[in-house]
Amino acid sequence: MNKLELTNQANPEYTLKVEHLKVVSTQGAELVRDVSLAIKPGEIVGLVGESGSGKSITTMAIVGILPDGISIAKGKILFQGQDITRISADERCGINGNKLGIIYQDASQALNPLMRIGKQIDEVLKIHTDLSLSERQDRVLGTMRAVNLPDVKNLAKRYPHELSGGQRQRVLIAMAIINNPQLLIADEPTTALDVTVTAQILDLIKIINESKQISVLYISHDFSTVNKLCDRVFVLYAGIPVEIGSVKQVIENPQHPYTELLLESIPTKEKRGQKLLRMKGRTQDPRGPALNCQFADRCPKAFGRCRQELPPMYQVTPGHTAACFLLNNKGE
Amino acid sequence: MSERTNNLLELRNIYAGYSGSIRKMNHVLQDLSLSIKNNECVGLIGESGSGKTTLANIITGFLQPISGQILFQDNSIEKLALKKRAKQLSYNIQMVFQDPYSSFNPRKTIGYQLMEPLVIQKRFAEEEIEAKAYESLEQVGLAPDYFLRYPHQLSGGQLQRAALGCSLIMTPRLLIADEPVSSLDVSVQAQVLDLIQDLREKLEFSCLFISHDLAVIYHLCDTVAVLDQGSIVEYGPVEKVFENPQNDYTKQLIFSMGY
Ligand SMILES: Nc1ncnc2c1ncn2[C@@H]1O[C@H](COP(=O)(O)OP(=O)(O)OP(=O)(O)O)[C@@H](O)[C@H]1O
Ligand SMILES: Nc1ncnc2c1ncn2[C@@H]1O[C@H](COP(=O)(O)OP(=O)(O)OP(=O)(O)O)[C@@H](O)[C@H]1O
Ligand SMILES: [Mg+2]
Ligand SMILES: [Mg+2]
Repeated sequence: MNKLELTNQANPEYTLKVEHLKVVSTQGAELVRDVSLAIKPGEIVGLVGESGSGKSITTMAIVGILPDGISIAKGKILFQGQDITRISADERCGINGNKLGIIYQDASQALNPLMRIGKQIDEVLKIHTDLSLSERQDRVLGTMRAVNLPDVKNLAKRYPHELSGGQRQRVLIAMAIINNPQLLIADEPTTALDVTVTAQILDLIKIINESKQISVLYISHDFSTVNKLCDRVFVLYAGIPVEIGSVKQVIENPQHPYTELLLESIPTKEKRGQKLLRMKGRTQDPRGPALNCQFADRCPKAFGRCRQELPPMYQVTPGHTAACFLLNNKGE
Repeated sequence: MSERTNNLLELRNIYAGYSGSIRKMNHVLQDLSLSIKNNECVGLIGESGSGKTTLANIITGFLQPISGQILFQDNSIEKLALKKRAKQLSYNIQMVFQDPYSSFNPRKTIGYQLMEPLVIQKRFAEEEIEAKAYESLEQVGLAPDYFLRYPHQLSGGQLQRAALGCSLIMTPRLLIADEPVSSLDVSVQAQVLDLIQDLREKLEFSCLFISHDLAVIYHLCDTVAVLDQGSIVEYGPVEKVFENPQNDYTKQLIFSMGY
């Protein structure tokens, strides 16, 4: 089957399409306010943003594992054309771990502390394939090697707590990719990994993506890895996308002051011993309805309108948009 | 008693490992020596699996060394029973764990967990402790609202900051932080690094700062130690090591960071 047929059969345009997603808590906090994003087959999309901006909640909504007391208030999530916001538990089982591979941010909860590593990875295959035991074993060890785990035969027999932090994270990646999913969602997969391992993992994601046309939603707080891996990037702030574009557009020509801040606060050689943050730090509040630009309080360029209205998305260049009133003024 | 040095902590010829079910004993740390001076911030870098967390566990007493000496303020502590040692050290050493999710009790609020160790110590009145807890939340960039939340109601980076708050509130002599800013975006990371810098100037404590991010180490630390296969293979002032690394692994790391 060639690539065209494969994509036509499932969904003509997008592997994943999220439309105006809003996720709220029972107390009424708007954790995700209005997120729309679309990922084409074979595309790698990055979702970056502040800690607490709603990246993980967005992924949990897609994966259907929102915690108690948190629910989708509005919006649609289409996976290969099918709305998966209201599917049954059975249907969900057929998707997660199968067509949808997930690397969770919280490694300790994603792994069963009482089950050996090898067995846990194998579990995914056991549920979703009819491979024989020896075929599965080969694939488990092969995948463990692919994510650069050392001494895999020995490691497979260990329990999660007997691995280092970085090794545990690589086990999660192995579990997510072992079934060749159509969409891989990776929530901070390289956090706490050193540069060499990070580079290996990024290469691996790229290889999987290219060889099998798997789409990837890559969540990170780190622009440098997004730069290496992604085609397009969404910058999220307080539950709302504030800038969208190709990685090149956004990094070379950031338009939203928050994106600028993100690109600026990276510690560099020159800044040693100095303050890193050149604007106000912030304390995160429970989120009510967004009535104005959420970044206005910290923004060095904010003016009257920013505190009164919520800016819409303005186009910068084709494919590059940002939610900042400064762009409106530029247009005038 | 031996003569006094300026060392807050000294590790001498430490061997350590885990008596795994598979192999009898694999040595994770081998003949490791390291000292941390008063008010010094030591950065610890090393490949994943090289033994960084194991080293932290040895210092805090979560793990007993097979052999070697641990001196705290020039007193040998490795022979103290774990319980006694933990008590002595809890006043002086605080640890921020690599995995923030597993360092909190899921059934207690963040505020409770911030206050609990201070309440046990009985150094301050209850109201004072509560005020400290709110102050500590603010310092790490969390609104007062988070006081009454449970750990699962925080994002990964928020939990990591709360964990740092829990350690700093104890005003330790030594702060061991295992990847404390790894899941923070740069703007919040900058806020946290600025905070640690400020507090170190104000309160004068030592740090063992474990990170895979060289830029962070360079920014914050005085000295850097490079761990490879269980021993320190390079050690020296940050500027010197970054300028002129000797060890191959260090060279590779520094090269890849563009320093
Ligand atoms: N169970 C919950 N109840 C109430 N609020 C929650 C809950 N879980 C998360 N939140 C809040 O929702 C917001 C978004 O959290 P989310 O985990 O999506 O952030 P994130 O962007 O993934 O951040 P990080 O980079 O720190 O992981 C945060 O402000 C968090 O405090
Ligand atoms: N409880 C345990 N039982 C057996 N082996 C263990 C245990 N904990 C860790 N190890 C092994 O010891 C070695 C060192 O682990 P450690 O956690 O100290 O690494 P690290 O340098 O902190 O790595 P990372 O950067 O990935 O967190 C690893 O190879 C790991 O698999
Ligand atoms: Mg998250
Ligand atoms: Mg570790």
